[in-house]
Amino acid sequence: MPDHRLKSLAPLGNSAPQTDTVGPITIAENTSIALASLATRKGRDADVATATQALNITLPGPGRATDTAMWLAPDQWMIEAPFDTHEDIAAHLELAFKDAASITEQTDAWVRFDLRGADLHGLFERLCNLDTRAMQPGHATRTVIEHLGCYVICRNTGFTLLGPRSSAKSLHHAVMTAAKSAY
Amino acid sequence: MLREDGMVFDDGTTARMGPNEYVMTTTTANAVPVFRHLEYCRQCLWPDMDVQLISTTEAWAQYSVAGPNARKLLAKIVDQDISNDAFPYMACGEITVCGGLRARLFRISFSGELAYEIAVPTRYGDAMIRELVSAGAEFDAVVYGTEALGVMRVEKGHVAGNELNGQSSALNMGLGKMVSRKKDAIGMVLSARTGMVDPNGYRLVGVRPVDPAKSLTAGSHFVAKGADPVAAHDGGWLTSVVYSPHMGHAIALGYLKSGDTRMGERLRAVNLLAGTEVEIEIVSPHFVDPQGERLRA
Repeated sequence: MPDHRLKSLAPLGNSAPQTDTVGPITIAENTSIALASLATRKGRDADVATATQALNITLPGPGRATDTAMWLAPDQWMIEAPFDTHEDIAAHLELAFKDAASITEQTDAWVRFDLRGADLHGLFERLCNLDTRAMQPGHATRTVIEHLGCYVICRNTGFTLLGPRSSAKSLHHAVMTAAKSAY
Repeated sequence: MLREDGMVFDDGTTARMGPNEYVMTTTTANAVPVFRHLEYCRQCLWPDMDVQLISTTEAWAQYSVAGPNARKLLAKIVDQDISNDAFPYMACGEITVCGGLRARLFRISFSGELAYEIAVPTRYGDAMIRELVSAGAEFDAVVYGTEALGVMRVEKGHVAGNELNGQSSALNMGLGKMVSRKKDAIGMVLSARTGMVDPNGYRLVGVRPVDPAKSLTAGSHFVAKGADPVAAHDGGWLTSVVYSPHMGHAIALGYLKSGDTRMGERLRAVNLLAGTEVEIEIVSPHFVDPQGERLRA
């Protein structure tokens, strides 16, 4: 961690991430993950494959995510790593991929909510037109929630929701409203 | 950035952060259309180009630090040397602040003052503005918003949304010299159309009321003295109007036919909807620091 005198805020505006419980589900703001985008440069697929192998990262195909990578677009992924050890995630990745890929820091571009509990589908039915019942762990897709472009990732433990950080409170309000309606 | 038809699409800044890395800013309202346009260019116009794009808007909290003491204030916060020699006008780079936080510094100015924009990871945005305000106390620094910026940019003659109306070219805006003649670019071919280079076309001008006590109304049309205020006598219009503390009276920007050759001319600014009519003088759109000496100080 860098040694400086500034104090960070979580996307919802508190000094620590916030967790809410509504009926059987929890909505947990998660600030423990660093993010960076990885885009393969022209003709460098083999070099990117070698580097990802060395880092033990698997780059999934369209509509898929692993615990360390999510597909964004052709030849582009979002890479995640623990924030505590990878605060400067882009610099870590640039060391590994050198000029084979374009890396852009994305950590603070997103608010991340981890949703857990029984029957989260009732929540997503209210939030977006995505059929979450058709999603299996490892599926990820982009959708619109309350006019905001978001990513919904299905995991073994529940769902992860990534939304634009500057609209964190609006997205949280939408999720809480839907949760109170559903449960 | 021009549209294919040669009209100005948007204006912003592009900073080269590394041999193969650029950060582009746009106007707020056009952030998505510009990104969409870049994707269209990359995917459809030049699919062989080795270019990758992603939005980074939300990842950084960015502040403008403007005014004659901007460098003195930032020197208390930035860990590196930012003297005029080390970090001249239009410089950009990765720096650290407050004892080690990764940040980005851009020496650019929209207010017309000696100015910088400083960006930190968004989670430190709140802490950064508090740090700037506290470190700036000895210089009487104040937090300013877009209303104040709107006044300063009109004083400086910088175009914004009111002038970037989708019907205006770089030539109309007085920015013709910013369009490189040494290379092709989107919009170049259709910029050469007769109507686009018409010397009698609209040009950006500054406007002041002949009587400094008079106020101006945006949207008023230029009409010659003694002429009927009808469409046939319409010479253009006032796009942006503010009260200028520097000048001590109302000032405006406007588009006037052949405006660049009509400095000193007196006309009427007529607004039939508001029922106002004011005698005005056409002046340079650069009311303050026309040579840009403050920017480079």
